[in-house]
Amino acid sequence: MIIGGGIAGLATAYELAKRGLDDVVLVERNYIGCGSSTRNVCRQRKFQVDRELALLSWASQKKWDELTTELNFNILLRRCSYMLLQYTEEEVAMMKDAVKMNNSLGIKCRYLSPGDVYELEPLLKEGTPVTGAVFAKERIFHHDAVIWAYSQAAQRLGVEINSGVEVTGLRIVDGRIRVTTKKSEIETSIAVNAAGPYSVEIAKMLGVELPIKRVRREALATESMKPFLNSVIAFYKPMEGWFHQTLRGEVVGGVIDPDEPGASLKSSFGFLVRTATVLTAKIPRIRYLKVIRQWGGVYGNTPDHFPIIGETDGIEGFYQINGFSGRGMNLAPIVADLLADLVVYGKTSRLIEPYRLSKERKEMPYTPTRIP
Amino acid sequence: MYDTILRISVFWWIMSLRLEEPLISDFSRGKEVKFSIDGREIKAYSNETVAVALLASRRRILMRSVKFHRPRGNFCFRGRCARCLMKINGIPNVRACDTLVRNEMTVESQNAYPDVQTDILSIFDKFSNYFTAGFQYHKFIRPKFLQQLYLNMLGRFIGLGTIPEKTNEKELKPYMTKKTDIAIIGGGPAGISAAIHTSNPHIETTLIDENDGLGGNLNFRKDEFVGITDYEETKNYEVVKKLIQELKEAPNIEVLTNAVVEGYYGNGEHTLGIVSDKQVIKLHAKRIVIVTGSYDAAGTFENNDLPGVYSARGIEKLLNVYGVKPGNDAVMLGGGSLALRVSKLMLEAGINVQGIVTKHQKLTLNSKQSVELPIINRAIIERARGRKEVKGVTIVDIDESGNVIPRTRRNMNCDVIGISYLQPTYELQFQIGCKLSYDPGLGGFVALHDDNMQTSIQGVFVAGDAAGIKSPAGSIIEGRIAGLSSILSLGVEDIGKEDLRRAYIKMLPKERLETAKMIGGKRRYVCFCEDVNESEIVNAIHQGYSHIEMLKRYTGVSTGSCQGKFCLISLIEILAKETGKSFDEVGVPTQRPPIKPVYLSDLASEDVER
Repeated sequence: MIIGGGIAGLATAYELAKRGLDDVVLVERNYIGCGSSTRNVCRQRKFQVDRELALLSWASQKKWDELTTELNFNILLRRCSYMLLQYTEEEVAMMKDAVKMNNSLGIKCRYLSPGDVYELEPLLKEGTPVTGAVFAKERIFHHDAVIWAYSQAAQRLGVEINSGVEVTGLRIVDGRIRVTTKKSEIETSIAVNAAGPYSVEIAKMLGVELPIKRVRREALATESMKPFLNSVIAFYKPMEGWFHQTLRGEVVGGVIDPDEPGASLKSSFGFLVRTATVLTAKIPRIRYLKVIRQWGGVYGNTPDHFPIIGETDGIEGFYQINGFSGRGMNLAPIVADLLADLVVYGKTSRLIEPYRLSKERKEMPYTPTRIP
Repeated sequence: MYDTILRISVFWWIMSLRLEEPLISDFSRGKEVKFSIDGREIKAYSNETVAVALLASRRRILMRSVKFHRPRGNFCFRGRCARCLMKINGIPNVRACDTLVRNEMTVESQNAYPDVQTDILSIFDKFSNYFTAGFQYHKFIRPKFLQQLYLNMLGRFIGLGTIPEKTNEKELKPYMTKKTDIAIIGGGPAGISAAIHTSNPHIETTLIDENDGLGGNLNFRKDEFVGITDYEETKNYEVVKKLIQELKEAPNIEVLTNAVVEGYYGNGEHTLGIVSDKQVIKLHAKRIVIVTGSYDAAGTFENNDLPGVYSARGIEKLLNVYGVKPGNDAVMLGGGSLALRVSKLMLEAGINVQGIVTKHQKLTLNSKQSVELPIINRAIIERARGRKEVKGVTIVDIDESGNVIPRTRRNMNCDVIGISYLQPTYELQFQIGCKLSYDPGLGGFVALHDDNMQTSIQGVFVAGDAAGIKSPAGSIIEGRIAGLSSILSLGVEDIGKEDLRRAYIKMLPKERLETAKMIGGKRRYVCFCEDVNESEIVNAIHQGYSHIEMLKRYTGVSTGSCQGKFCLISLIEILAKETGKSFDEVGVPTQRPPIKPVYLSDLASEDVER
């Protein structure tokens, strides 16, 4: 029984069915992919400032590269030039070290001087001067397509996907987990909590506390233009933000208030104005684009920004795959794959073993580590 | 020789689409200007918009659609339908119908080679069956090594305009937070009437309108006002002048023009995000009155996207405000008073109106209006004919159940098709969380409200066309009721106002549109921004994308420049028909700000709160 119809739940359902489980049922309270899975800006990167995360993201990227073929659905995955721009001197040293660390792991990336940055993306020259950038070849895709791809592939393997079904209760009876929904009660030996930022409520039904805090994010999209942005950009000063041009020609981006609490999916005027002001300062040419929509989404953040993966101590068969802290799209495919190995074969992997619920998690300071 | 000169003059007189002067003589053409279109210089008048000036010189094709490069021209003439996007003075995707011509202006085609008149990429339209909505998810998966190449190629064919060559300096606007008691969104007759009735020395009212002046669409009508004794025997556009004068005499009302309410951002209290030409404003209001009027609705026949298909109100504006004929031979679709009024106006302008096509047995009018035009009843337009512009229509008869009667097809030549359907605006109401319900008698999705015009959300009122398509009299009276309700709800004790409100509620004419079953066609275009027709939507539904949110994302309908204003209701209608659900059960997909596309440079401002 998979609770949650986002990428984590759908990927897990698919991977379990792929390994021969023929009685996999997924429940989603709204329509599949309605949450964070279709509200993000569709990026996947292997370069990370944290060593463990870098290894996991790199494994994930290798998995992403195969998804179109494996799921037989074009998820529009494109290799792109990714630049993490720096605007202050303090950031430069930290990022140069991070590049060295990634290289030592075998992850290809390099540090660019301002001149290199402007050569790659000339339009940045008109804006706030950069002090440098991390460059790597990363991936962008279409989030809706990934959801549909996993969903249809899972259904081909016999997975039953139920939209509009909300889980209202969970309890243990004779060592098995009983899942109650508005219409029925289902008994299962394996329940996977893949409810994203709302996993907290699901876990609470079995008396389990998840260290997840909900944080709001927003994004906007502009009218479509012929391609003019070569790279996919992220930055950290004056505030965390990103922008790039999608396959459709729209510029998708945002400049956020990193710790804005709450789970409301509503948009805010402050975000719209802040994003416009900061983005037009960094790349003035985009001022001729019109915003056509903005939307909101939620991260489920753990204190150390590492996900919660694995069986729950004391409750046999209750697995967590949540707490992705903004890296759900990035990591879900590989994590689901490894989790399925754990569930079906009992096989552990050093890539996900450290992230059990029982792990002690220290609060991480806000640094570029946290940019997903 | 005199004979030849006469013949040529008559020929050019017939060919010229400009009337001697606009039919509402108050509108002046302004002085003569010269601007260039794709390198050719043409003359125009300074009060004309680019789209009107081009139409007057017989250029009806303004752009090519994104996917199939189908020829497109203006439909609404009021900046909503996104079918007039051109490159103006180097800036891409500019709405030509919203931009006044200026001397030395450079107007260019976009996304077409060599230009929009003859675009060689229109060959894609021949392959539209191969590139149906959602095709990109199922093609080019194998061989694996070509996946990147395929995507790179796809990327070259997307997008409308190209980014300008340089960036002009622009100062940041000031950003401010303001408070008001009553925010009235929309300055048409309903909005002005609402504002007048909130006037009070202790209450602050802010009336917001996106145009340069107040009065909205009523400014463009010269038929006689009917329904309120004070304004009877006055032309509609003169009623606007009277209302504006009354507003001037009402104290304590702040008027913000050239200001667009882009979204509702309430979080405990009512908050509006406003972008005006001079400032960016976050407005906190205690009460909100939504009087945002209505949109024109698209036609429902094959080739409904051809240049030459115009909204009836668009034709009215062309003739009354600009004195430019849309063409010489017209067919009007729809059987209500709007169809009749604009048809008569076209006759007055010397256009040959071939007939009014209606699904009903007869025109749905009050007995006062006489009919001197050919009525083609119990019939629909099946398709518009013409390769690049409207050259004619194919009409077919229908029976009482709305089924096509075979062997009744006939063709008529025309170069103009008028569409007289309207739909209430709904975006703001949805964003606020008002309960909406579909009512064909009101024109579309309308916020449920009580007799005092209050919606399901405390302190939020709706009036005018936004509460259902109605006459100007109905809009004015509803505006008055909403204005009184908003001020009474603020605790202003006034028996006089309560009595007045009761009287107005009694006065309100009960108006409903007469509706008939919607009849579409497989090849009719639903989404003009993304080139999606009805059969592609039906296919997607049968593939399993049967939730409105998923259907919207998979087909791309309503995700383009117009953000659903002209296609959403058709999408919902098709999904309702295919799944057997009601419109309300299908639901409206989440509406998000901004309501009107807004330049990033118009939002960028100083003193942004962190």
